[in-house]
Amino acid sequence: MDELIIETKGLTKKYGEQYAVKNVDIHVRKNTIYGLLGRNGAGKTTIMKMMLGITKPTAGEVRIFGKDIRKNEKEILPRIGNLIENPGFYPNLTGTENLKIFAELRGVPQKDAVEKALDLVSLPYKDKKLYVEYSLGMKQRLGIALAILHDPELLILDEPVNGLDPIGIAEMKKLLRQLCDKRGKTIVISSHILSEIQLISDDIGIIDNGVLLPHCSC
Amino acid sequence: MLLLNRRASGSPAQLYDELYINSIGTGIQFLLPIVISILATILFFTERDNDTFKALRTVPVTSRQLVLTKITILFLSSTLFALVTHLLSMVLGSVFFSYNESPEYILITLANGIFIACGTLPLIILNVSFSRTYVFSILITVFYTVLSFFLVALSPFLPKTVFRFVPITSTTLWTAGVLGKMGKLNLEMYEANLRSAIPSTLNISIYMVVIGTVSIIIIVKLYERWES
Repeated sequence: MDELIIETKGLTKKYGEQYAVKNVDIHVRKNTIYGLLGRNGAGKTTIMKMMLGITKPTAGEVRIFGKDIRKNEKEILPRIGNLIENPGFYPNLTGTENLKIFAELRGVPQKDAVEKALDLVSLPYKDKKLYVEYSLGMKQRLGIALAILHDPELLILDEPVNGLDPIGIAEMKKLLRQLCDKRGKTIVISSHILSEIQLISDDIGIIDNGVLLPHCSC
Repeated sequence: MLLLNRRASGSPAQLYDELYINSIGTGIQFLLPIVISILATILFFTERDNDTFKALRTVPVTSRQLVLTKITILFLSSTLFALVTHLLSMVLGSVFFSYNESPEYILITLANGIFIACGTLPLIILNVSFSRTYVFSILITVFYTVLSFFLVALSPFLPKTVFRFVPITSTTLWTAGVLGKMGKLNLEMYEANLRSAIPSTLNISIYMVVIGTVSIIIIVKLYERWES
């Protein structure tokens, strides 16, 4: 049996009387790309936030690398890279400056980590353009650069190709596939577009109104 | 306004002292709370406005670490502002009057910077709890500062405990008391009720530590609840 990197058991989130996520069991195998497919508002982002410990589940648990995320955040989070919803950066700084802050906070030892991360997403290093002046696609690329900055084992990416042009989407799919195949990363991505998920994912989970439909392997 | 309504007259050395006392009254006790409040609003709302908190949260940086860092920056900025005001007063006093710096002046300045930062923390609780805009923070701080100075003018009609429990008024009175002991300020010109409300250095230090600690705990709790 494949080693599981993420395992959720009965994951549930309620807001008032409304279920955002209901009794979800997800199994993400090591060194695969898991695609979470669902309509807007289906509960994809909520599941990802619970995976990262940002949102507290109403019931159930999330086990990452075999441990409960809520009890082992300090140990687990540095091993994960993420992009949830829109990337959030300081608008009055350049992309490089923003990444340098996070590299420092994460204690990334490699001095060229920021340059390499920017290069992977085709953004210029030491560009003078402030984040506030970035286009939607550039913001998204910078968000992905932040996710891969510290060379994490697991990537959780919420709609990572949002805002990218067709060439950008193709490049990003290629990059994610390479990260998985050549560098051994495990990746969870979400999207509401079937073709995006189908072409890139090894496993797909379909979310409908907070409920996970039976898994399929592609 | 205890330290402000003073006439500029006397020898160059006295004028130097007058300038210093006015720089404390206007530059620090009146302006600094407003500056701190604006800075605090920028610091506390920047992650909310730019959606940066979730990226920090997954580093992981906890709400407590984030709040304590911001409060440290507030205290450093407050001290720096007070020191720059002091330096400016020293330079202008030396150029236009005559250098007459007392060794205690720098300590009074530093204490004012720290006390005013502590005294402004309760306002930050309001800002964080209501999650309001920059305009709200500035308005409420101006109101609080002006009210603190008005209390001094209303001294004959108010019990002295009021002065002791309003942080900026308390800081103003303590400063006046220290300057009075140094012979730089004639306390006889102030109303008896006000003179009897002057706190000792120990009293005001304990009071500010209590205000600061309680405020920081409340801000951390509010911020944790707010971010979740």
